[in-house]
Amino acid sequence: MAAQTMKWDSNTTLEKEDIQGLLVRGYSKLPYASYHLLRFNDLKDAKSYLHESITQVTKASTSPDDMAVHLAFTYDGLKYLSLPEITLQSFLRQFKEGMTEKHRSFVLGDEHANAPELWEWGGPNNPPVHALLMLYTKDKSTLEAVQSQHHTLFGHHHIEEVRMLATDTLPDLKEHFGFRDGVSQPYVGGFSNKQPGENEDILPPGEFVLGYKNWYGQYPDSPIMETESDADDLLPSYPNNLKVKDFGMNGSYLVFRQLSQDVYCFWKYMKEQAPAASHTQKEAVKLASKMVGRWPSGAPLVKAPHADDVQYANHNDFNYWKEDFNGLKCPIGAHIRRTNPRDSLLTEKTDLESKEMVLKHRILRRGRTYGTPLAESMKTDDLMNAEDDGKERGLHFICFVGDLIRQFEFIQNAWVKFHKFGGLYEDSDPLIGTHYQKDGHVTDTFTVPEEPVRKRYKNMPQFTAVKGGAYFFFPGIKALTYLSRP
Amino acid sequence: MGTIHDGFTASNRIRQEGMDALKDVLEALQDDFKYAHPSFSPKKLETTHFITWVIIPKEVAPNGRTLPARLLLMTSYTGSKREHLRELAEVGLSGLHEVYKHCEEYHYSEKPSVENMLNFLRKSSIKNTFYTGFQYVTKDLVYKQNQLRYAIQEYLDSDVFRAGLEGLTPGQVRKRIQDHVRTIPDLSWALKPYKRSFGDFLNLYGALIFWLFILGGSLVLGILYPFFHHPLMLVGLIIFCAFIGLIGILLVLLRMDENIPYEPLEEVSDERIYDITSREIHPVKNEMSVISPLKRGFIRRFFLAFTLRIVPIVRAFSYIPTVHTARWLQTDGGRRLVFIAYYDNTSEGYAHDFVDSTKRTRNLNLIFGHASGFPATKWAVGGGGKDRKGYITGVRTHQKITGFWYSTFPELSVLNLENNKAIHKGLFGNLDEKEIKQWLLRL
Ligand code: HEM
Repeated sequence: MAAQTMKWDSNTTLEKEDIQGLLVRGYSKLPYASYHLLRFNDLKDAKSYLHESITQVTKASTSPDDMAVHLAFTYDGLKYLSLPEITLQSFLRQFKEGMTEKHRSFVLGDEHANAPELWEWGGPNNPPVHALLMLYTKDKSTLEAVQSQHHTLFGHHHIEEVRMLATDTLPDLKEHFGFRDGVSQPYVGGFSNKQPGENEDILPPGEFVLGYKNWYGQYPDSPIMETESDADDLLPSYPNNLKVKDFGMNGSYLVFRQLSQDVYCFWKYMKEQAPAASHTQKEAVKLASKMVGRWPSGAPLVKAPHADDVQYANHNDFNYWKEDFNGLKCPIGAHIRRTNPRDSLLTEKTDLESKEMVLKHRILRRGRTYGTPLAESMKTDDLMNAEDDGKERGLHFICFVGDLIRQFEFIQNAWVKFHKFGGLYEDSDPLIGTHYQKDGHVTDTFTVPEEPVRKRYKNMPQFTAVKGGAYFFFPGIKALTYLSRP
Repeated sequence: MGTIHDGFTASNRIRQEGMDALKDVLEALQDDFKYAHPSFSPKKLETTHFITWVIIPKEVAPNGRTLPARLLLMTSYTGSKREHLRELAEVGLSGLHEVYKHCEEYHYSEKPSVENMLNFLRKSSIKNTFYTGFQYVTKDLVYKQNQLRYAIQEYLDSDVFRAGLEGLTPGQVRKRIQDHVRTIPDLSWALKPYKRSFGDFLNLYGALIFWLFILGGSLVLGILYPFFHHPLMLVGLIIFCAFIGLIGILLVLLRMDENIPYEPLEEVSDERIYDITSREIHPVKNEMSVISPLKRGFIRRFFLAFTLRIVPIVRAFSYIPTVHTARWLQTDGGRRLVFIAYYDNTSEGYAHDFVDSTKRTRNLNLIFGHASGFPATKWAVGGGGKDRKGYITGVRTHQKITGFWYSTFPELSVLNLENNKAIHKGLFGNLDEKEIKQWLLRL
């Protein structure tokens, strides 16, 4: 087992009073949630809406039992709120250009079925989005109450709700294909009092929160502001240049992608691949688990290579290099092995060198599922036998990063989309990659290493499709207060 | 044809009045990556793996010296340089003429003969330090090895192969595959396993062995000198001390140069970065050229030249995971550093390969530490790329938009090439059961 890697000075305290709480916790106690994409129509109104909402915004210093509220903004939104030009310019290029910039679509694999032209929100054919309101509650009635409160505020402040994105929590924390999700998260220094596992790596908070040091011992790029623009002296100084203010401190970048899942098509494909004389359902689950890298219970294939084993359902203390170099247990192309190759990059020479690289590309996931399940029980047998109900369901994928290009975009591009990942030939991520055959390039194969020789599954349809998405800035409370001031 | 993969570089000054026209010619030859321009069809070149033409604009180095606008032609080829240049001149005569019309050293107003073009190319040639991720395979062999893998893949997917697999030993499974390959006349070449020749071995390790022998020998002789006082031993002692002394002096002088304050670079504009990265539109392989004047300091160009001589000697141990080929060279009396690479996927990931690994950051510093604006190094290998932001800014500032580039096999990654070679090597190679088992996992 590769040793623990740590780059966290435990003397650094996080300003949790100034950090929005979603960054440090996923609110498992608040299973009801909705996301509201907003468009401002009047600057004064927008600011007074923010002013009224700010008191509700949940800080990282509290662990709410009933409700949490969060706010994030697109670049267009921040422009609308008339942030000074120098501040706008100092946001990350990727944020300014937006998720749907043409070349970015190529990089992220937002082509073919994922093309922004087909999106329902955030795309070139959709109305602009300025802000994202995120509501989390303990029960349905609280959610409805807080929604209606905000709807009233929208009305008063001429805010258009471009779209409301509902969420539905599935039993056993599953996602729609029937697999336990949200097991693996990076351990970030200073986020919680929970002790890290013995082998767990401790990431510096600057990987996710601006204003703190990152892996390179540097402060992440953060939007700055001239001191004169902060007349109320609300914002802290910028650590890289004390003459200016740090608008980004305690904020983060939030990536939002609505990923529609075709559960029927997914299981149909798995069943079709089962050998003729086999136990079809068992084989189908096995293949699907190979694609995920965990069994439906959440048990990682590296720990439970032959069959699902609930005792490992929450297990996350494993690696690949020594345990499973060739991918005989967990295929190199499996979703979890691609999105976090841990200590095993075929392009490196040792496990430690791999880990050193991989740790620079982690994300903090905060997504939630939406839509009713294809089969109520969420058992794989039932999902497999269900008829196609044509309903929309999927994952509102949300993650936080301190650096969009190095973290989210790198993973999505080099590990998820790139069909040559890990020495493979034609395999994009089986769950969320871009599957196509064009100009001599084939990306819709899934390879399962086996003895004596691998099995290849070809012509894999696209099981997920991007339906909408945007990059948001998730400000600290002080920056939010700044935005709300007239 | 030989199988050593090497790089050829030609450097020429661009006529001031020809700059715009030259850019247009290169763009026309690039032909939207279709490479079907009537005056230059690189696809016809058998010896060639990669071609790049890049324009370096006129610029002022940190020491105040003006460096001229240049056109660099950088190709990589297998076989002899002579054959490669001849082929280049024959196949690309019209295209080369169109390009070089705009260069100062070229004196032909009408298309010259192949021989004249050859002479011109030879005269323009400058030394480069070349690295490749796939050594000792010709273009033809790359094609064939890929064809072999494809045929094996199709066979492995077939019911014929799958029937009755249980219980077979790895050796028996390989035998099935061998038997199948034997039935395909087009693959008869594959019956002979891929093998590196002794010449290839010497090419890779020869210089290293030679230098180890010289230095090791002189060290041993030097140690014996106090005991035996033989003149030969004195020579050994002198050689060894001179070598260590040279490195020591170079390092100390460099350290003094490292202390010269340098102007950090301005942040590169978003538009510029976009302009560069948005050209990376190939799903597998892309290209980058980073060219920069050196920082101030007398010793830098010598230190860099020394380093660039050492790199080929130890290259058997260097490993850049996603690089097809890369090269480093100096132009203008050593005052400019040129680096180009063809790598898998995008430059963002590729650039990170260097700074996300401590080991590679050290190697990177040895060379890029001299480029103007690059973060300050300490004793040649410390500091530098550790400042990730400064490093990326340096790369993007000095990255040039490549006028023309071409590569064979746009659909194969470096790891694919390596794997295809290993498949060829192991198919009829002499392997034990354990090795066969591993070989089967490559398929
Ligand atoms: C509908 C789309 C998706 C589905 C169904 C899905 C499903 C899953 C499942 C079942 C797991 C295993 C549970 C766990 O380890 O937490 C997982 C892990 C993970 N997923 Fe996804 N995912 C989706 C989209 C994405 C996207 C877009 C990304 C980022 C680009 C991503 C990144 C990750 C990461 C980083 C892990 C943890 C891997 C590890 O640390 O071992 N996922 N996903």
